[in-house]
Amino acid sequence: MRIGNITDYLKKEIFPVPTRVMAFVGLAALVAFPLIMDQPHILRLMIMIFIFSIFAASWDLISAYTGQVVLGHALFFGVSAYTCAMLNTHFNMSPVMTIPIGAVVAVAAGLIAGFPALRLKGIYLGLTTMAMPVVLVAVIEYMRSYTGGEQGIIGIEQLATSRVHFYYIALLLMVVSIAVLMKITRSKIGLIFQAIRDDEIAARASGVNTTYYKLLSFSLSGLFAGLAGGLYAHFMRVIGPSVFEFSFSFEPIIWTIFGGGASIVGPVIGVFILLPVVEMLHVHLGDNATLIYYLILVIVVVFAPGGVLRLINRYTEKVCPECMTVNAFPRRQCRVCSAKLSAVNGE
Amino acid sequence: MFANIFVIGLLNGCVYALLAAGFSLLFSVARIVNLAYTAYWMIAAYIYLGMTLLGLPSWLAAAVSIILTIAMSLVFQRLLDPVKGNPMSVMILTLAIGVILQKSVSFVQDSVQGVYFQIVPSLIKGSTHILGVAVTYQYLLSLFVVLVILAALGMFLTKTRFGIAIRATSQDKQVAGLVGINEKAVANIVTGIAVGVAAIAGVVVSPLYVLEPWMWLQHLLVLMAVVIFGGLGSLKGSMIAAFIIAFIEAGVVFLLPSVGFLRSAIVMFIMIVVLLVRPRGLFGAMVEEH
Amino acid sequence: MSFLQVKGLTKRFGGITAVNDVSFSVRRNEIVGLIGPNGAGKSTLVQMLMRAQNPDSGKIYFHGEDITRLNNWQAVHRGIAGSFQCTRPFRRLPVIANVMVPCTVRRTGKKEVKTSTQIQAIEIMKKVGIPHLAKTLAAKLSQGDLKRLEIARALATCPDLMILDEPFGGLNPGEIEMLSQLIKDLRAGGCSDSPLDSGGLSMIIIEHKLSELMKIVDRVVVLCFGEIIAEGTPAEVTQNEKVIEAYIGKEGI
Ligand SMILES: Nc1ncnc2c1ncn2[C@@H]1O[C@H](COP(=O)(O)OP(=O)(O)OP(=O)(O)O)[C@@H](O)[C@H]1O
Ligand SMILES: [Mg+2]
Repeated sequence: MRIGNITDYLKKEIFPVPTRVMAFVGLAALVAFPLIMDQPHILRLMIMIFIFSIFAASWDLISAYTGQVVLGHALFFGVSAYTCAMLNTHFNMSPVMTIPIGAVVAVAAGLIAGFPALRLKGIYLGLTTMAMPVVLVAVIEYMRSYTGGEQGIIGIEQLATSRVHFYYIALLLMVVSIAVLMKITRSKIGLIFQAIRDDEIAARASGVNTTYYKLLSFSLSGLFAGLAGGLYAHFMRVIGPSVFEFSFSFEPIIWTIFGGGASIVGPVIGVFILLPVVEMLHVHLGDNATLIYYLILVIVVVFAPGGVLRLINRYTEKVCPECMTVNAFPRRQCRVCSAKLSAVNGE
Repeated sequence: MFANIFVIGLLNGCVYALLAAGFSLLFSVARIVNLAYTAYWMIAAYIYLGMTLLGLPSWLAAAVSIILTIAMSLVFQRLLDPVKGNPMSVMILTLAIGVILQKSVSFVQDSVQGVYFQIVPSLIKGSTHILGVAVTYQYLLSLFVVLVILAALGMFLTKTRFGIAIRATSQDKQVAGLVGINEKAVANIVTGIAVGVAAIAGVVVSPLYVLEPWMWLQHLLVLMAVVIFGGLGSLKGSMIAAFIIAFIEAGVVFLLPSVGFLRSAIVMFIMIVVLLVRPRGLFGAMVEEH
Repeated sequence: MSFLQVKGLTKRFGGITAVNDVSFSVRRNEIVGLIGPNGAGKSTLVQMLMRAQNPDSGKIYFHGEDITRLNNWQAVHRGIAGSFQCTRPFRRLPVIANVMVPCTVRRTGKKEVKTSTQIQAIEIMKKVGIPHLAKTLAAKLSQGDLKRLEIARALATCPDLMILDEPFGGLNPGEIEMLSQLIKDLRAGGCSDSPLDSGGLSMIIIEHKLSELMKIVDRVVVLCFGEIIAEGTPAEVTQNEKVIEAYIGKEGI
């Protein structure tokens, strides 16, 4: 019966839609990947992709969904990474403890960062959040004896004994995080987040307690960014103030815009494409990689403003105008309500 | 001590004020936050340096640098057209442009061996003493030029027909369109002026600093702090904020040398607090939303 | 205990006094028209009632409770909903999602039937006459449809008092006819699961199309330069000399 349900679900909801098939096959491939490929540097790259996918999706939630311009997302990531590193090195706490604590501290950071958002909007909020990591770096450098100052913290314990082991932990956490984030964004909460993004005043006039929902969005975003930060600290085993740099705050924005914002999947696609590209460019071009990387970025933003995800959707699916069911592109009739589908794909 | 603070604060204040004026101008007409703005400042300084290294006389090098920088900015401006409606994409694009400029400079630097690329030669040599502080002639020249440009910009915006047209466009696009102001042309000219201002600053002020390709990011943060502190779009506000921030920085560096490295952080902290108290900055329009 | 009571409400913008010491009340199940020349302060007044703007002085009582210091969303939960003069849709959401937003957060009424927010939203869109637009992005709507969306969204909060700021703006005569009928129906039936026992709904309607407005309102309040210059039934107000004076050169009544 249960198995029947699952195959039924696959037949009805996964196989008729090309992008879902791709996601399904991709996930299966990721599970099987370490069996075929065990080169440490490739596994390392994959683990980074998983960690940064969580990080990027958490920015998507707060900025692309809720419309709160956060330009200092590294704050949440870094706060958690530092919390984990300090608890682990000073108090010998195991990673199983430090990562949840780090994530909770990141939630607290989210609430603090969210406080200005109650009054500030747009670029004003953006700059305030961008300034926060700068202030924190100063604090870290000032409290050298605990934080290691500019040198950072070394000798952090690995979360897993082997790299393959870590790979599966990171993969699992990524899949769970993305699933939870997608669930949230497709729920009533997600609807309210988007309403706040589109027009905060209208949302309030519709009875939405915007203060509560904005702080909720900041906490949730902080939670997942913090999870990513904790994993990062226990994977890299060494962290420094560089986790608070601008570039670290801008990366999730780049991934999200590249992949396609307000979709949770978009930023993940962005990371899966861009991280290997950067790695490859670095191997072949050394320092000039960044130049090419940003040129590619400019080209994509200019020629595919909706991001890669929208591009893929456009050429593989059609949405039924009657019942909003997603259909494969070649279909002429909706697979659920049999309504006629237009030949061209209107966004 | 206080003389030091005054000398450093005054120059930095003037430079920040100039950059803020250009940035505000760009924002008020184009309604975009151009994160590449300080990168134009940086690239102008480097082009000037490169030209002098090639043996061009200073004045010619300066002219070439300013013209090239403006031309570059107008080309990049075109790239923004398709994403005008999406502020986040505009930000990413302008940031990418800044990084591309930075990395291009690094690229040239790395490929030309044996040339020291950090110290820009002064336009005039020598120094004098004012209030017991050693002050180079280059410093006085920079101060003078920056003040002249600031004054000229102010006169231009308030006294000339074209300046008034620009302000009309910034205040109301539709009305400006109705009374026959060509919005596209105005936007191009404003970009030219704003970037030109940054380029001139780059050329005359860079000999006073050690030049690094990545410095534009740090300047960008200070510039954003100045502009937003003063109130986005308020020229008067950003002038005042420029000097406040410059003097705070100088004060921290000279009065609390042990925490001198914290100066950006202190500025940022003060800015966060100010924004919380006055969400639109010191002089931003405090219009209640309706 | 009166339904809505406003006492000495004043609002200044810099030098201008937009609303000056205004007092009036609205009874349960009553439709009040709020008229006055452009810039009279009508929108500012109702924005303060909706708690979207703060008065400089004065008090607002609703169901006997002082709501002067409440938030906008709290006022909505007390039963005051309004539409904006300049429509403010959630642009990147489809119409149905726009209407679902208030449904997801609304207070639960006594007669609340457990229906999904989607069904509630469709019901409301049917009432207002825009069910065919459910899947359209709000950004793509025409002005008339936007006005109806605003009303649908206000209605979806299940209000006891609904404030409409120029609901007929941008509508064609047929649509105005339909909307007038809707307003009359609403006043009779109210929102199906409103906690209000009487079942009916009060309204304040700002409108410049006076001939249409006069057909549906019980009472008219006339605002001029921020002050109430007349108040009464449509027949009384149209005879009032001060009102005619205020409207000279404007439209005929
Ligand atoms: N946010 C604001 N800032 C400054 N002045 C304002 C603001 N809102 C309204 N005003 C002024 O208050 C006065 C009343 O405006 P209001 O919008 O309430 O008029 P109204 O009666 O609704 O006019 P209309 O019929 O044109 O909608 C006007 O003079 C207007 O310029
Ligand atoms: Mg009005």
